[in-house]
Amino acid sequence: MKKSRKHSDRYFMVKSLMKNKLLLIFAGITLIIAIAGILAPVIAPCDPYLEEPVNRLMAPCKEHLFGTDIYGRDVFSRVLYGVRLSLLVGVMTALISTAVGIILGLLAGYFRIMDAVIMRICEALSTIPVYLMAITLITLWGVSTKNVIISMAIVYAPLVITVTRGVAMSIREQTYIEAIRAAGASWSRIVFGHMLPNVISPVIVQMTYIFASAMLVEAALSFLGAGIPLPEPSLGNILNEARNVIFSSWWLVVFPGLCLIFIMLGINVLGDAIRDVLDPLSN
Amino acid sequence: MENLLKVKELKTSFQTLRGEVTAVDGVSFEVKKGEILGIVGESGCGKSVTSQSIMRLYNEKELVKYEGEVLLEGNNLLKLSEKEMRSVRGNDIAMIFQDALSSLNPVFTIGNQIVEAIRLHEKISKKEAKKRAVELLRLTGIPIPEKRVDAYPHELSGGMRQRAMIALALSCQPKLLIADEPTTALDVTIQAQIMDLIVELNQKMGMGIMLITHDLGVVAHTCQRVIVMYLGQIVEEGMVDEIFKNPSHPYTKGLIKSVPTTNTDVSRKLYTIKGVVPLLSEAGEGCRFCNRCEMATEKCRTSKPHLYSMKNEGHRVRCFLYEKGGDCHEAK
Repeated sequence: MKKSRKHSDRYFMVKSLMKNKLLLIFAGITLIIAIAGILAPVIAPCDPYLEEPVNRLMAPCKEHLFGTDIYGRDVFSRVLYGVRLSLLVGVMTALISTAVGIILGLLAGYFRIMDAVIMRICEALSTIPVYLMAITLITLWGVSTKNVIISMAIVYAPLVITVTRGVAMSIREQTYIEAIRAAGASWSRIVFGHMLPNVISPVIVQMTYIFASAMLVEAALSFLGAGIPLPEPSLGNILNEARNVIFSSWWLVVFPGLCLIFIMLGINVLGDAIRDVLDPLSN
Repeated sequence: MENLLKVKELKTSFQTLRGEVTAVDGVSFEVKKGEILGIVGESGCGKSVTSQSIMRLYNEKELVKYEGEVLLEGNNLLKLSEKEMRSVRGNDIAMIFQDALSSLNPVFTIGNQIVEAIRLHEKISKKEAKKRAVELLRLTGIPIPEKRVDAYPHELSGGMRQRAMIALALSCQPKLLIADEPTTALDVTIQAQIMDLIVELNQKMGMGIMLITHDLGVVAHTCQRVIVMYLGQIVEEGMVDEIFKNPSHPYTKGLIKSVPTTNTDVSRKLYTIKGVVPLLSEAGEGCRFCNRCEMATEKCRTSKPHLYSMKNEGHRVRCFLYEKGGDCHEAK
């Protein structure tokens, strides 16, 4: 009986989400782009690195759906691989910063002494603008996909730490934490066994936000030349290469640009929807 | 009867912005095996702090200082390391709290929480622990325990939750159970059921119980001995009958007088103790109750009364009125 009731709770939640047309449209488009990106090696008609100088700057046609770039590479394939890489960067950044942030946030929320140290470092980090911080770290460590991910995880971890710590502090004062202490649990068990499951839902919302903005920042960094190194395709560096020929070859800018826009919009709309579902106050 | 818990001159002080505040000031008492000891007093008189000091639930790194001795079967708990203390909590001493909804973690089922409490102290498989959990729930009178074991706290009623909380506390068969206002959040009929359950379990399992409450009716109904606390000190101590028939401290008298009974004349206002509990940091030189006491004299304002023994054994009162009534000696 209990199971079926739970099922129907979720069923109603999904049903109310289905009514939101805007959500459905954006979620659909994002999903298609994301799946296309993930399946890039299967779908892509051409090798994204294959240069065919004879066919340079071709307008969109049957063989090259999105046209070709200045080196004659197939833009459609490059955009697919670019989306794939952007997704990878977004997911990895979100996962790493959340994992680090949740641990540090919980510790800061539970131990007052650690709170002072961790939060001061967080505050110091968040006074530096995102791009400046990311570019500085990448310049220090050298341009590579791994370094882009690590430096962005460092940039975004304070966000997760702040959210986690806030929730953790209010949970620490709950009687059930005192009760489990009174049952003889160690601090690690209290923090990771009992506080963690209670902070997870606000953090997941934060994670979707980080996912989306990490992709955007990655695109911006790649555009500036401080992100994914060429010739590996990323939405940002495809746009960067298109800069010089923007007036003669519109397709080089429009397709990757549209992809980026739709992914951003879709993830943000999805993030809002997830918050609506997870946040008991908004139900 | 043998002493299970002996608290000697326990002093708990907190570092606050106003300076050091002593919430529990030199409290001494003992709980015998199989006994139910009641601790009564107004809000803020140090009942809960006393019980939490016994379990050392306040983190010592965070501006708390304990002094004195808390002897559980002769073993001083205040001297144990945090790790040793962890094996005492839940295992030797368990606690039930006022509001069962907020003292159960909302994201885990009742069964999960009991299983966890068992497995914190005993190395048994999850399956066995779950079997034990069902038995414990059955013991506390929860109907269809096989099903309830998988329920989340919010799916149970208030009384049921408190029963689950009791099952959780009993999971490792503690020697001492501290019940911190276990019935305050429940309605009267459920209150009676829960109290009966606690008394029944006390008889069945033979553990000592420290019952903290501000409900004198509950005390009269269940306890053998009572301690009356005021502003972090014990003001009166004795057998239940003694305290109710022959209350001696003006505060205890006031407390008992201010409980309405069916014989109370409804046309007259109910008796109240005038004033409110003063801030701990404002406690003066003399008797801590003197500002609210109807019998206060000049002496009460300038010097501190000790606990004086009365003619009946075990009855002690902290009031100058009885200074000459019994042998004057400081409580040990």
